[in-house]
Amino acid sequence: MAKHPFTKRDEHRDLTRRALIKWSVAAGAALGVSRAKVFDILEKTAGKDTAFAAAQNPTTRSVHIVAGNGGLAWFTQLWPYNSVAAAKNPSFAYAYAGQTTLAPDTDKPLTVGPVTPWATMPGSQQVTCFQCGNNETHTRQPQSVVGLNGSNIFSVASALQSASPSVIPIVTIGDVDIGTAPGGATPANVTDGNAIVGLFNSAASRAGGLLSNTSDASLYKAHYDAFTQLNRAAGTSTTKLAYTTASGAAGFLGTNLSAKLQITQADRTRYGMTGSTRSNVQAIGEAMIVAVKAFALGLTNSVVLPAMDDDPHGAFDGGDINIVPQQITAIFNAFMADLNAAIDPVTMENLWNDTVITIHGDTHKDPLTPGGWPDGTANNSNTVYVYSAGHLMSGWFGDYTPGGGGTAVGFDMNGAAATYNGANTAKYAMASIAYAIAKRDSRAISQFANGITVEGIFGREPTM
Amino acid sequence: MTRFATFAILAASVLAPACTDDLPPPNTPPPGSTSGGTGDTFDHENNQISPWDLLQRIEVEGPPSYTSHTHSCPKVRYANLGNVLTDLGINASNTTMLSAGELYTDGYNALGGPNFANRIRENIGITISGASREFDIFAAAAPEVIAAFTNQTGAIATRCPGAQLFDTTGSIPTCRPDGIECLIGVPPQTEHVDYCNLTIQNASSPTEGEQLAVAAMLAAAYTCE
Repeated sequence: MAKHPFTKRDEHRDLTRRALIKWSVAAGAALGVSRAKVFDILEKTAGKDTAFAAAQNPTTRSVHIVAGNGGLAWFTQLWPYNSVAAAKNPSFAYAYAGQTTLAPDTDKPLTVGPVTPWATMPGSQQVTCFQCGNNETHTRQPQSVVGLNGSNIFSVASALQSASPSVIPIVTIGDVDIGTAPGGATPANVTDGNAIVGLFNSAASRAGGLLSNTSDASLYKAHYDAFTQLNRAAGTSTTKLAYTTASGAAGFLGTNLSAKLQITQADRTRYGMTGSTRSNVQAIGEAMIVAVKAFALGLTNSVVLPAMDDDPHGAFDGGDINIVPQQITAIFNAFMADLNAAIDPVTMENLWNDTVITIHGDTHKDPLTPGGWPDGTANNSNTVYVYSAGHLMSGWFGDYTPGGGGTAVGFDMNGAAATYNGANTAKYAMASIAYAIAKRDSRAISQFANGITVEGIFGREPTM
Repeated sequence: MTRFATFAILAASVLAPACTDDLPPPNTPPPGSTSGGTGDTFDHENNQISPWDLLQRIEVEGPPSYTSHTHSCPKVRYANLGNVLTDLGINASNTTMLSAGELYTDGYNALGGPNFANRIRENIGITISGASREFDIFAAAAPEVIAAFTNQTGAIATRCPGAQLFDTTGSIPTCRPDGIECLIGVPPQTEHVDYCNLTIQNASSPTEGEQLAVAAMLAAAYTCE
């Protein structure tokens, strides 16, 4: 159907406004004018709406959890399959049979139980669950649940987030693979959450260091810039970007962020970490603690971390099912509370409205068989969980029904239940994640989504 | 005038403005614009570089195919940075916390070293994290470098015998071209010596100034490989 002229006009105005914002911010950066001042100018010249839109980050931050080697199975206890929970069958692989309710006001049905994180949040803010992709049992780097038309969703996230500048665009922990995507950033890789602090901290800026004195730090930066201008090639167009980056690094060297990023005992207590907390759960918590601090300081836009990696075949038999999910939930709840408490210094918004969290894995294990918790899944299916900060429809797309020994229910391009197709469902899910990170900007994700429509189906309509 | 003619004039006076309302709005693009309106033209990027600026740049720098080879600015590779440190008289294997050697060894990831196990090649682009770690190493190395020059130890003794970084005969040390040449690997310009002296004069103390000057000169010289 042809678009109404008013719709076309509104779209055109929207594009023009985006262009105005983009070029205003860019010009401000080039002229050394602070973002806040640019917003002031926009408010006076283009109105409050445009200034308000400019003050928003064009993309969200993101935390991507890759629960490989069977680790994803733990998350089925946090967000159970609707049909499995509805069966209230204690012989299924869900430890809280009969203790669940449907979350109110979600777009699609979403079952919450005693260990569901963020269960008290409004329905529109609840997670989106996709039954999608293929079972890739016993890999730490699943591919079918991260691919979007040849690109990796983590790399796509960094490409989209390049619109929101940060010191290090994307941080990876351990051996997680972020693949590639056009325009995707090169990740800075560290061994664990604690080591992220080291990425942003310089020895020179610490007490007793060469740049611990602020005036010396400024002098260093100024004279570094002066010395680089003596390099003959420094002024050429092909080296300009590299020298600009290096100049930023010279300024960054004098900034000590250690105290602000370091994990403290108070953090651990807040995240419920005790001596009995499993080390793999603790590792997720440490990464989250540093991530929220780094997000709040604008140091990075994305953190990709491995999780669990423990292939919990004996979780039900050995009783871990009554321990580990609670620990994960405690950490997730604390993380969300931290995001809620953290204020973005540029937008003055809570970070929980500005952060997307995704959980991927190799297999969710058989939801119907607790004994030995087998790796096989009906229709070779897989699951992805997304906290979209309200940008996606909340609830389940797809399901896992217990009848006939288990059947995975997929969904089609319109979000309606359909015969399970791992590749197609994964594409829709990944495009939806990109849409959430791009804050409902279909144009921004079009080169990755390649014709997949998210708006109004999996994602909410744009507000801007 | 007949009744018919009167009616025709009246009808024309009523219908003419109506016809005018149906005309498309005037479509005068602003100067420099490539867009007439949303319905008839495609509003493409219009702020490309001026051809005259491009021509001048090519005359000065050469064509892109040449410039990208000779004037690109990849980061100093991890292994090469280790060689540079060794040639400056620094113990790159030093395990003392916050020494240049320790920062170099522990900075493998931040410096974008290759991860062969995961089939990730060495990152050759300059990043904030990589460059700031490299500059951090140079800042930590400055006292060691100055000592190596002063005492003529390590690789300095063989690479640049007799070269000194600073003339310490006056109340405030001054920079020496022979030392700077050995430090940055190319003959220094007058400005190198001037900036170096300014750094010492403006720092919180002459000792800090010497170290700042060495750190800044090394960082500028080894920003690109």
